[in-house]
Amino acid sequence: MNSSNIAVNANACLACGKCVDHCIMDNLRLVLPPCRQASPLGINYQGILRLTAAGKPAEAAKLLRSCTPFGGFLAVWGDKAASQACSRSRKGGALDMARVLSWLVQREESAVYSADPDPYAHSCKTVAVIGSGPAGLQAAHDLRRKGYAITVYEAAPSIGSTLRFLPSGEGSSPAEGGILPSIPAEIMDKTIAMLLGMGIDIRTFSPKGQSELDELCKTYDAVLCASGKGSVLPADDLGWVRDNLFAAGACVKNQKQIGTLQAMASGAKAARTICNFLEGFSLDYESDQRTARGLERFHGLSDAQEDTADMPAVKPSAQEYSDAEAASEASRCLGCGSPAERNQTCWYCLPCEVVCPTHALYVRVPYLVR
Amino acid sequence: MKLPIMETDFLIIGGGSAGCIAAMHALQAKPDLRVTIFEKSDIVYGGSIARGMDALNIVAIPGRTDAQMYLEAIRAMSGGIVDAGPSYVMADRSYALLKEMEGWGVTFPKDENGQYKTLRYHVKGEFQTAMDEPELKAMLVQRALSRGAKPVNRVMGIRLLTDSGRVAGAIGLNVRTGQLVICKAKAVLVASGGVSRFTMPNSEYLYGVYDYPGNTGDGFAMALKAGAGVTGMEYTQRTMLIKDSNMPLLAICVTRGGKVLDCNGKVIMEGEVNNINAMNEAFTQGRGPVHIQLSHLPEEKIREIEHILFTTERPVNERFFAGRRIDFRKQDIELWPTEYYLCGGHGLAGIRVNERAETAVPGLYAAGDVASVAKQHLTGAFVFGEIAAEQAVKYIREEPDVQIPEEQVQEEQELHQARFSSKGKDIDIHDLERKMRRMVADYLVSPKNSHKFDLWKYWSETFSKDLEHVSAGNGHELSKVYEVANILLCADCSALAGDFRKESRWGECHKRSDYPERDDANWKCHVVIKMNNGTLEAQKTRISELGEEVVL
Ligand SMILES: Cc1cc2nc3c(=O)[nH]c(=O)nc-3n(C[C@H](O)[C@H](O)[C@H](O)COP(=O)(O)OP(=O)(O)OC[C@H]3O[C@@H](n4cnc5c(N)ncnc54)[C@H](O)[C@@H]3O)c2cc1C
Ligand code: SF4
Repeated sequence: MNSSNIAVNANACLACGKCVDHCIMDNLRLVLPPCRQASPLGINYQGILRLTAAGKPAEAAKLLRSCTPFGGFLAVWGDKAASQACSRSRKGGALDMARVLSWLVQREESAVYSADPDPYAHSCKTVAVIGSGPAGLQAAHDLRRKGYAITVYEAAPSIGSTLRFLPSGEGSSPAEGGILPSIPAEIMDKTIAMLLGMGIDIRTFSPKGQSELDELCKTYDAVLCASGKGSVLPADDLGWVRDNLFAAGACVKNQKQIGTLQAMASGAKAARTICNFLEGFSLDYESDQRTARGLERFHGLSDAQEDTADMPAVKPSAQEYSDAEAASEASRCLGCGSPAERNQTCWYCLPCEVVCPTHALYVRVPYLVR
Repeated sequence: MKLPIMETDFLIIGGGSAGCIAAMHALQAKPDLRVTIFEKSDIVYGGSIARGMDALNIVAIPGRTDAQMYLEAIRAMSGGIVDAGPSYVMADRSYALLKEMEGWGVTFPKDENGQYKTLRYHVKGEFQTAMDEPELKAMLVQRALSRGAKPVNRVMGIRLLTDSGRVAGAIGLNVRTGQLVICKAKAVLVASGGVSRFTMPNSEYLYGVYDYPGNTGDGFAMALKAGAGVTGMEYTQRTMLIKDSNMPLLAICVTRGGKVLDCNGKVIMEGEVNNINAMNEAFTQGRGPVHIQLSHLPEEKIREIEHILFTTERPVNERFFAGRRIDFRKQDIELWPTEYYLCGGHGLAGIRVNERAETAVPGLYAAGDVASVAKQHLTGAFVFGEIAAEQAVKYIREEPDVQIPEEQVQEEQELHQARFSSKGKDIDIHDLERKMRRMVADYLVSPKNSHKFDLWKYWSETFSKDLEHVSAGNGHELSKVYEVANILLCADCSALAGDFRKESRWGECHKRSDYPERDDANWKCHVVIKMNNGTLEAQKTRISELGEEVVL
């Protein structure tokens, strides 16, 4: 039996996984593009690049925003792990994602910093987050998106100070490109304005020490400690400490020094655990995101992709890419990720096609029925 | 390991037509109610509607038809085995439903006189009302979610929990990760559809069935184990649909002037779907396959038919016919019988309910294809989804709280652990399903006889032992093990009910070679099955008239 009745146009596929999410027979799986697989924040670069190449920067920016609240930061830092994984690196040089992002962030500011509420998420549950560093802000953002009321307590006089002034060595990780460049105040301010715009209550000059944890745990439905290196809490893999207390980022006991992006990823993970806790799921429910979301590892390039000619990265004529240069650089993306039929349970009902934003998917009637 | 408990007020198992409308209505009645929906697939498109429908099959339009007339029609079409109350109530509320749906923005086309376009589908009365809405399911879901219903996607209900006879919640299984979810609820609605994968379709493709293949009788199995009754399980039905693709189009074509012909070119139906029996007979007597001829119709009619088929009702039809190089202007459409299936949407099988959607278990409701309201189609799913919501809201307000029974949870956790492994297990779940569905076709469908039902017992025991040797290496495979176990239990019910009803009734749906005659004196009754200490037991239950309580 022909094992794939799902035909995908690799030049149009955004590897967004909408088809996998909506297939009513759990028939599909998404083969991750290597960049997204390697990216600590799981950024869907393929989608962003494809939309950029297609001349749809507004949509590209929306997609970036749906992957992370820190699009502006990534434009400055780049995403070294993702660039290194890029299949193009063997064919003329990796995609210059940082430059494309930088162009996108400047061009589509309102989308990149959109407060973007989820129309269906509402809850009367409350969560306190200690620390407005990378882990704390990421978690606060993700939990707010789920509809909870969030209060962030920050000891310093300004929000996100550890991100603003990354002291040398702090938050550095070789995998992320060593010491990250510091974030321009403008980007920092816009990001914080966005988080405040989402309704996150951030209180500065509000140090919360170990001794105040119990009190917070009584007041809030859940508490996340993300106060950085200053304190240590023994948390398990999921970020759970005890009862309704969780920890993320550098304050988790017994771990190697973690980079800034890794701290954000740790905040995202703790946010998922907290959500499970508040909704009555087991803490590890869908903690294996790959399985839960139907994602698969990259298997290597297809023959057709292997056959594409080498092509070097587009050099900007000025400091930043122009629209045409960004599109031309983005069009070097090989489209390594795509959905595939894995379970042979297709009912040829077509919701997958309907939700595909680029009509990249086509369902053939299964061979036995054809 | 002790699992945490998800707390809700109203748990709905199955977010299809009935489940979504129930969520929406419960929240309309009580906006702060906590409503949770376990949905095996993804709620946006999950279920039989998937992408739209071309008709609301039962609408009693004032001045043209009414509930009394519908009752007469449905009695005639169900061999008299119908409780009057539920069918009457459904027809009675159907026009209000149509008006409500128009309020959502659903289009019901009208003719040049401003009348709804109706089609004749029942033996009397034009109840079938044309509808044109490819995004019906998405519209419904949006309404349920915007009011605050919480969907839990990719979770299939596997067991109902009871606290001293009352429903107390349910256990769900994530079909990707294989993890369990325990939910405590004061009222539960089972709306998980029929049993679509009962025998194999002619294409031999496991999922090439007419009804939505995600519906595997899970609701029947859960309700039985919780103490509710199921009925009509001997009504093993199949329909005549497009050869191999098993997609519907008969009514769409015939009501627009198509002719159904036997192999000699003799007309069986024209203009009205009024002789399904003759069509089936032609097939069984060797005058098949029967065809639908459209080539005599004017181009505009053919376009109209193509439009409906290729947009609202299974749009993939277009690819199928193109692949087989069938142009309705030149070629006929070949019809063959589909696989057999059990369901209350098109047939009589379902969890026993009354006109309040109640089952024999307090706090447990059932609606849609999983419930026993005869041939209720989409209308029944919607009307009884609404009724179940109204009743559940009342029940939740009036009744005291429930406790989660630890021992039931533990028992289910142990079974889960035993099933979720591949070590030393050597049977592939797809092979087991295929073999089981073949045996169901061999022994449990017409012509039936006691000898066949006896032979089935061997296979039933064998398959339940085989289930212990099925390898489940991931959540997806594990969910198939649960599905197949549920199909098997439904097959056992069908065998028991089929053997119990010692007469023939409903034409092909229950034809016994050892009791070839219809026997109203002894069998004008329901056959209801319940589970007693793990054993299935059948009993006769009387048919209720209007104004009488349904015996659950
Ligand atoms: C192809 C086709 C065409 C039809 N055309 C018409 C028509 O034109 N007019 C008409 O009136 N009727 C029509 N019908 C009938 C009508 O669609 C059904 O009667 C109605 O949709 C049934 O609704 P339901 O809610 O009971 O089931 P469904 O809508 O099928 O919903 C069941 C839901 O339960 C989920 N589920 C199953 N098991 C579990 C579990 N264990 N746990 C959690 N969730 C579960 C499924 O994923 C699904 O989403 C048609 C049916 C089909 C299949
Ligand atoms: S056609 Fe339906 S079953 Fe098949 S892959 Fe698409 S959504 Fe899934």
